[in-house]
Amino acid sequence: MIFAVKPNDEPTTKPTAFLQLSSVTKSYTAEEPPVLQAVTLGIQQGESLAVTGPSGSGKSTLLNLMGALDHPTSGAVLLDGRDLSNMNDDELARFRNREIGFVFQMHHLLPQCTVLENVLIPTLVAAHGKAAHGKGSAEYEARARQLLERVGMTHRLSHRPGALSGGECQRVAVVRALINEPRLLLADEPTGSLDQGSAENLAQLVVELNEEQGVALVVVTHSTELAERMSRQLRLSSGKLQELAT
Amino acid sequence: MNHYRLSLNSMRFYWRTQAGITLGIVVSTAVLVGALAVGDSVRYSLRQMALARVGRIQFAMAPSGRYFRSKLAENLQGKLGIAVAPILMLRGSATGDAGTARANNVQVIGVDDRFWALSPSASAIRRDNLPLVAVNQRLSTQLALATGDGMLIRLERPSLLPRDSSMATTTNASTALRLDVSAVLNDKQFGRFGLQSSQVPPYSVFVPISLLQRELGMEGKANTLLIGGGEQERISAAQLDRALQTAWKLEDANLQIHALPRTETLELRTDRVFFDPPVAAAALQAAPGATGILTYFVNELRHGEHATPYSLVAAMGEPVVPANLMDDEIIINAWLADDLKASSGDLLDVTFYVDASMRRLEERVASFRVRSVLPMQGDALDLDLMPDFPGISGAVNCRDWDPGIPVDLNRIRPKDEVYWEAYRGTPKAFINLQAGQKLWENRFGNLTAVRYPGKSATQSDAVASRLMSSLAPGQLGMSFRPVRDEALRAGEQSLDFGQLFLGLSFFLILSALLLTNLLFVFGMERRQAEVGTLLAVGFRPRDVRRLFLLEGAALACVGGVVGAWVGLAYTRLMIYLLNSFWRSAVAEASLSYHASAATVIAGGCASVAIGLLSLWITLRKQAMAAPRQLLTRSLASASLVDHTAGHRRARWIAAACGLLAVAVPAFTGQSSGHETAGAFFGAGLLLLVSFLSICDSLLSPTGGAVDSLRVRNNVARLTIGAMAWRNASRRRGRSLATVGLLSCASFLLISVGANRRDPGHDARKRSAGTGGFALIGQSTLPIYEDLNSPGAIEALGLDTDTLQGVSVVPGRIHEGEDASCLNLNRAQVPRLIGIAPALLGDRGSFTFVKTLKPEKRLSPWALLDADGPTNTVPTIGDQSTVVWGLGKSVGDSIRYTDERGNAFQLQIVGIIANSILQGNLLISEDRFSTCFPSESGHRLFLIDTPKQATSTVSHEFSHALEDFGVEITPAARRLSEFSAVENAYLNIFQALGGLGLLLGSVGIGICVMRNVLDRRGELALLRAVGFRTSTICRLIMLEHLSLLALGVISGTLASLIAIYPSLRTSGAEVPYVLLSLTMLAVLLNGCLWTWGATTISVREPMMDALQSE
Repeated sequence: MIFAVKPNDEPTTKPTAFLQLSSVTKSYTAEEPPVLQAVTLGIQQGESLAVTGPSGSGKSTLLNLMGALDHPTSGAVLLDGRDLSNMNDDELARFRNREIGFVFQMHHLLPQCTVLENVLIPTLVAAHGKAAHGKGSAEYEARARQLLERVGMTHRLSHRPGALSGGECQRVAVVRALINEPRLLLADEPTGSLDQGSAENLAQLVVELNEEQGVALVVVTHSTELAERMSRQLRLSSGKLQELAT
Repeated sequence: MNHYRLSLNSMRFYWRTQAGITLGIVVSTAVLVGALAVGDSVRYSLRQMALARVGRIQFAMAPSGRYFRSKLAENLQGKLGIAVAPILMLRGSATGDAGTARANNVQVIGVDDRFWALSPSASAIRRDNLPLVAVNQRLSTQLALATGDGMLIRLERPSLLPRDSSMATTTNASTALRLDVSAVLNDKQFGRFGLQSSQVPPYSVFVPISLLQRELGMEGKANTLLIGGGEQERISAAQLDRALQTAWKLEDANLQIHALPRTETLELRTDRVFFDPPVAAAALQAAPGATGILTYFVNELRHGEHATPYSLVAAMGEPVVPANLMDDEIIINAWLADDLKASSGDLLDVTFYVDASMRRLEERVASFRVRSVLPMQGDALDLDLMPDFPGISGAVNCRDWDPGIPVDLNRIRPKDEVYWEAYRGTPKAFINLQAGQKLWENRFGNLTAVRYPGKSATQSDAVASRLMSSLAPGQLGMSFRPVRDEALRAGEQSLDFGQLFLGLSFFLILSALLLTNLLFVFGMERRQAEVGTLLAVGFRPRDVRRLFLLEGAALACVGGVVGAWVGLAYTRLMIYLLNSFWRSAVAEASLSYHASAATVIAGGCASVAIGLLSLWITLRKQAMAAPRQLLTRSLASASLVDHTAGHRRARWIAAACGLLAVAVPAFTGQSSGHETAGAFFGAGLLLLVSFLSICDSLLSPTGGAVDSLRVRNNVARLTIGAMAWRNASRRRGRSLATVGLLSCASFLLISVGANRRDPGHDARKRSAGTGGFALIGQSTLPIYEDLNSPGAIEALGLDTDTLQGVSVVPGRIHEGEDASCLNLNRAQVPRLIGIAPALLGDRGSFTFVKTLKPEKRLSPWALLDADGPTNTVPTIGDQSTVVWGLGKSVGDSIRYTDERGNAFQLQIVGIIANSILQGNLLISEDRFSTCFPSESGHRLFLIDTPKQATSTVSHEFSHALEDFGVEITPAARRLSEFSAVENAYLNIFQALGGLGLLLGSVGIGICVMRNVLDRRGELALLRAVGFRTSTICRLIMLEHLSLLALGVISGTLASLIAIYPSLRTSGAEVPYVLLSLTMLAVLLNGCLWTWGATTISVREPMMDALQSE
């Protein structure tokens, strides 16, 4: 499939965006050119967005900046108008815990915990997020079970990651990302380590959850199939972000 | 789901790693608890020994050279209602019937029922089963004595007049007793009884007090009072002193008062001939009209050609001597006037002896003008003016005289015999008291009698009562010592074996902690992604740390509890070793196992806390990494990125420490031996830091080593060696830890091992610990003669030919506690030695470590004679004695009490290097005699002999002076006995250090395994691209062996610098073979682990490794 590239068609910042990247530049060394150059992007509630681009183009870096796992060299990442760089470590941790859900290429489930326990891991620190959503542990568990049922993992609740397939692990990872009802789900090559069938299932699941849960979704991927499922598609090339026609 | 559940899951899942961490904590806890419990055991054992030694005794009064009524005990008991036992305790030597074995310094104790009632188990010895003569187990073993065997005891015959006095006689100074042993006493039966703190029981013979009194002619006398009482009957020393003040009588102060009907006066005399100064002062105040008298034995009274030999002259007041008699005037009796053909106005020379040191007499002459001649009647004819001079007063005629001073009996004329027969020792001349005291005052006193007006018994009692109430028993040294408290304190303040073992186990504990940390770090590294995930899902770094710390705490607690139990077993092992192989370290004491709950809990908690702290430090570092790095596992590669700053810093540190290492010894080149040793040790340490910094720099990925390997002559050259080195630099921390551990271990083992000394080496040098003396002797009974004088040598029956070229430095001993390393107890009252400082100073004997500044060009020994503040006596001690035994330093003071109960300060003016004098404090002989006038004669002998004659001289002294209980020991052997303790500590350190090294090597092995496992994908790749297994093995071996070699070489080089002065010092006994073998074992051990890890890794199927990567 050929996407129409709108030249100089930088994604515009819309006033309703809850997360904004404003002229974000990221360099790792002074000698080398920046990985990201003056990237500006806004993410609205519930929208889905795919970021594609060649390896080393800065896709994961962009995702890390959105998820407050990294700091921009210049520019700002704003949450509801508040610059993340002005937040201290505790506030950033709270931000990651309450506002963001991460899905990595590798599922990064804790091998020592069961499926249900893995999903509940983010709730362990929800207390510092003002008892996220005012939920008690029983309510969290109920939500976890409900989500796991939704992704078809009810029969695997007490299994450890070692006993699951790659696709199952990623599904659990998605549920873990959603347990605290984040506003933004960041997925870094979520299907990258899966076979085609599992990848398709997971892509479908993510899209459905995006719609069902009303969570904004940003997916970094090489997969055009997955990218096409998103409402917006962006391409990173030489550190610059361009919106593709969909 | 909660934090605890998560931690529990983690512990279950990673159980192998967690077990390793727990094991590390178990080992460190066990060693820590074990070390502390060894301290408990030593303290407990010393306490048990102390309690066995003092039994139920609370206080003791043992005045030096004084004898009082046994009945004083009954008087005191009546007043206090508490058990009081009188004993007669003397020093002697003993031989068994066979005569082959001998024991010197034996306590011969005259006791009765009251003594046995104070034994630890008072009921153990029943009255009807009371042994007649008993020996303790130590003496029984020494002399191979059993019940029924005979033994010969030689002991000093008590003399109230100190035998150092020129008036005292030294003939028959000792007596022998033949006794049959009727019992051998164990500790419970009071066999350990003694008043000095030591873990080694004295040799003791217990004899019925009545028998001993009879044999010594001391009927009804005792010289020690023991006060009993349990915990409920506590009494204070002040109460005792008050009770003694009201209970004692004239006799207890060796005084007697009797009426002189002819002159209608009362006369106070002392059995000691001269009144002690406090007694004299009190006696002169005891009643109005008291007058003092000093009667002296003079060698000659001469007027021109006429001389009268050996007469008594009295210095006194009225009525014989008028108040206006001038100091240079003399009154003579008619007999003398006639003998000398002298009359009023004539000049008269009086020749007499005064005491110089070492019983050397100095003859002096004083001239007087005759004031008047008294008729042989009335006040002048006073037979009572003659004191009870031993060897004179009891003689029937002059030819029977046997005084302490040399008397030429040939000079005694028939008319002198006639005078003696008629008038006995009636003084022939009189001078005023002040003049007499100026001439004849000596350290024993300046009055021989005090007279009071009166004659009735009532008046006599009144004088006695006033005298005894104004005189405090303490002034005569009759004061009570809290021996029980002292004994317990000596044990409590003893060398803390807990701390000592902690020090000796330091490396072992460190290794265990390093191992724990290493495993924890590896565990953390395995779980990097987990940490990253937790951080990504909103955990704060401190949440993650808390989570892992929770795991660590659980492991540490389990390790702490298990370790504490293992520690108790470890303690038992240590106690067993201290009672067997390491016996020298505890000076032959027999230790019992004891561990208090507090120690175990404290040790366990401390270990858990240390473990947790080290885990927390590790965690801080680990959880500091960014989640992005943790999730992408890019930490390892991050270490390869940029360390330019660290690399530069390492180079600077290396250069600075290297320069300092050169500069420090250069600046202290002229300093004393000990400062030089310290400087070189410091230089060694600096060099070690420098080497480690160089290693750090070399291991830096941007460091010169890697770059230089990579590019040479602008041509890229990658060899197996270069690859190995580059691999080593990938995990710089691990590599540096390996090098550091090995270098520190090598440094410690070599530098500590090199401290081993052979005291026999260069023992004849005067700067050595022997002082250049070949032999050191100690006698049980004092020797009053100067062993350097031909006359004394002949008198003592020594062979003059054998003693050609032999010189002796004698010393006086005031018994106290041994403050050497051979006494585990902290000496409360250290033994004092009085020595002539010039004799040691002129020889340049011993080496001073530290002194107060001596006067210019004077030997530091002269400091002993230096004037100082009042009530201060300068003292010099051996380094071990002062620093370790007493916990003091130069300039510090120790409170001491002289024999008259006066407190004074012993100020430490110098410290000599470890020597044969260890355990004692040395003061000048003159000051010794002032403080302890009753301590007569010499008992310590430092003997210098011609090299070839040492054994002959030793045999001669031992044989000829056998009756004095002389024990001659080669000085080098004495020094070896002290060194044995130090060497035993070194053995323990090396054994525990070796264990630590073994544990450390396990850590190294784990490092190797980890390195290899981390890279198994790479290694598989190398195989995939055609590397042979042997090449890969070589690569891994090269990498790790280079680290091993670096560690061992840098540690060895640094330690060689540190021990350089020791290597050059005489007597250094560096165990080259042992150290070389240890280092070789370290290397081989490292090789073994590397080889094992390599072999395992290359066995793994190539494809599995590639896929897992």
